[in-house]
Amino acid sequence: MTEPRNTVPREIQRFTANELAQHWVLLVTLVVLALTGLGLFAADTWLGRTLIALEGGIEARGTIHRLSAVVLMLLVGWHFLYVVFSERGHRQLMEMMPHAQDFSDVRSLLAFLAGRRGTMPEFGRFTPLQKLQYWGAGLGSLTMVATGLVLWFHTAAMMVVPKWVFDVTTIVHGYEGLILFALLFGWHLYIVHLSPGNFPMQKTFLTGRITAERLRREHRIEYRREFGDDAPDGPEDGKGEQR
Amino acid sequence: MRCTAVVAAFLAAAAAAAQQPAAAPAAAAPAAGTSAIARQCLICHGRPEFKKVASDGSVVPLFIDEGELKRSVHARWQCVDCHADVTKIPHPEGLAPVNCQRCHFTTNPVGAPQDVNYDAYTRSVHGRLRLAGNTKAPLCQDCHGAHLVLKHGDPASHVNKARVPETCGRCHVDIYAQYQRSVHGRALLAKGNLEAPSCTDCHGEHSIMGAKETGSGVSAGNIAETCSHCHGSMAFNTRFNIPVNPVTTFKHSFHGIANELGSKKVAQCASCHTSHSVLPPEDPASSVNPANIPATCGKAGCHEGANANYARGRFHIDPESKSSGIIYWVALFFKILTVSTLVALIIHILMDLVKKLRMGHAGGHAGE
Repeated sequence: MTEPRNTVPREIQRFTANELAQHWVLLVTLVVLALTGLGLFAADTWLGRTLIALEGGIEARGTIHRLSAVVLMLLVGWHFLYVVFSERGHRQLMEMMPHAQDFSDVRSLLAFLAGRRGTMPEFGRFTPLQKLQYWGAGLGSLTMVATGLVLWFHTAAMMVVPKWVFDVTTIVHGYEGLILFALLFGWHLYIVHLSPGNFPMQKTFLTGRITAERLRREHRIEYRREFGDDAPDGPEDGKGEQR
Repeated sequence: MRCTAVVAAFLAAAAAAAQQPAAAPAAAAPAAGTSAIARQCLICHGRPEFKKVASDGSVVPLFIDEGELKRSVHARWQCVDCHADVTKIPHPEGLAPVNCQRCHFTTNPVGAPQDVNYDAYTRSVHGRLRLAGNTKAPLCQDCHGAHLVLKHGDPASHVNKARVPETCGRCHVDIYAQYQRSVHGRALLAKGNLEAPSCTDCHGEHSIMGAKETGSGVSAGNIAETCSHCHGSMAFNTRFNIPVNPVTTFKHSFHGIANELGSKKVAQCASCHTSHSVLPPEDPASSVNPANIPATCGKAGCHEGANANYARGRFHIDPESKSSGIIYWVALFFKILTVSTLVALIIHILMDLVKKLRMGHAGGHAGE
């Protein structure tokens, strides 16, 4: 159903308070986990030593890291219940599912960025890059929790697995933490806040709202589904500010 | 009754001899070169059978080997130069311990060597205990020898590297026994390898501290540095069939990092390898032999309940070295993965940045 253009609100509620709260808990725990983890990962460097000193020494660093990990595990549990058992959550999860279309969309997007394609591909509720960030953070957190539990309860874990498995786990936990750090605090931060057009900050993560203009530009398929197909090109059309 | 009749008889004889030096028995007559005063002392102390029974029942030999006196660096001094409280013969019992500082002090006129060792000693665990009145703690002469004092380079010196274990072992009996069986003790004492550490190489000499004191070279915070004096060099390690650098691999492990940052709970070198019973892992008696690893890792306060799994894998692994097997390959895979992820992310960011800045120039304000 196509609705008249003048009924399109200026802003649309995109995320619920529950979802925003989950994002906040994830944000805080991952920052704390990353800083305490990086301290140990880089303990033989100036950076690592400074971080550990700021965190109250090697023992306190570990305690803070594990406390945050407990909060993260609770969040992962809560999120699991949310996407499996709540109607809204489940719908979001379905929207997050990767499709073959996503891969061709990424190719089109890169072609657009490289200037070999005139228009940006149209995306649904979640763009392929957003899906990548979600699954990266989600599956990343799960592996970090799994390997982290082995390191936390190493005395018991090593009664079950050989010493070399423990050594491998240590390496996986360290490097995967580093990759997640780059993914979330480098890439994700650039895409949502630092990129031209978003800089210095996009407010969606605070309010849960997105402007209709941005929705139309970056989630054209979702926009069309909600408000019909007749939205004319605005002055910023074709800017291609994907998120 | 503190002395036996034997001693009483000797004292009587000495008293007589002091009055009539010429009557000294021929058997006890000192050789030429021994001073008249020393000759008088040796009337009694020159007899091997001269001894007393102390109040606790122990037999205390009082024999002084004249040959030792002559070989000592102090050969030119008289008995009473050190035993200054002997003013008559026979002398009373309970002489004061010899005080080496009578000569060994700064600017002494007799040319006795003096450096900072005495100051270091007074701050050491031995010196502090002794000054606090513990007569079991050693004075200079207890280690350096009383009547046979030799320079430490002399193989016969009590403080010569190869003889230090025996000297320390006079008091530290159990530790001496452990050390003799260790790889270090066997190398130094049995094989005569002077590269192997003697007690003082790890513990220090005059400045020796209690093992738990922060100033000690063998304290939890300093032991890795102390072991690194030898084991920090791969040239050294290779000669003794140690395949990896045990110091750097320790420092890169969680134990090593936490140890360096002041944790007292984590394992350091001696926690696993022991202090004085260090043996190569191939030795069935070694604390780090695979068969003993569960007990070593499972010590109270460490990984209690450790089982044979703890020995399945290598220790002191270097993820940079192919000899570490799967650990090397997993680390390499993750390094490549990390770098390629970073490169991909940076390429995307740059492409996005360039595109948006260009479009911003072409189409005006890009913000919301």
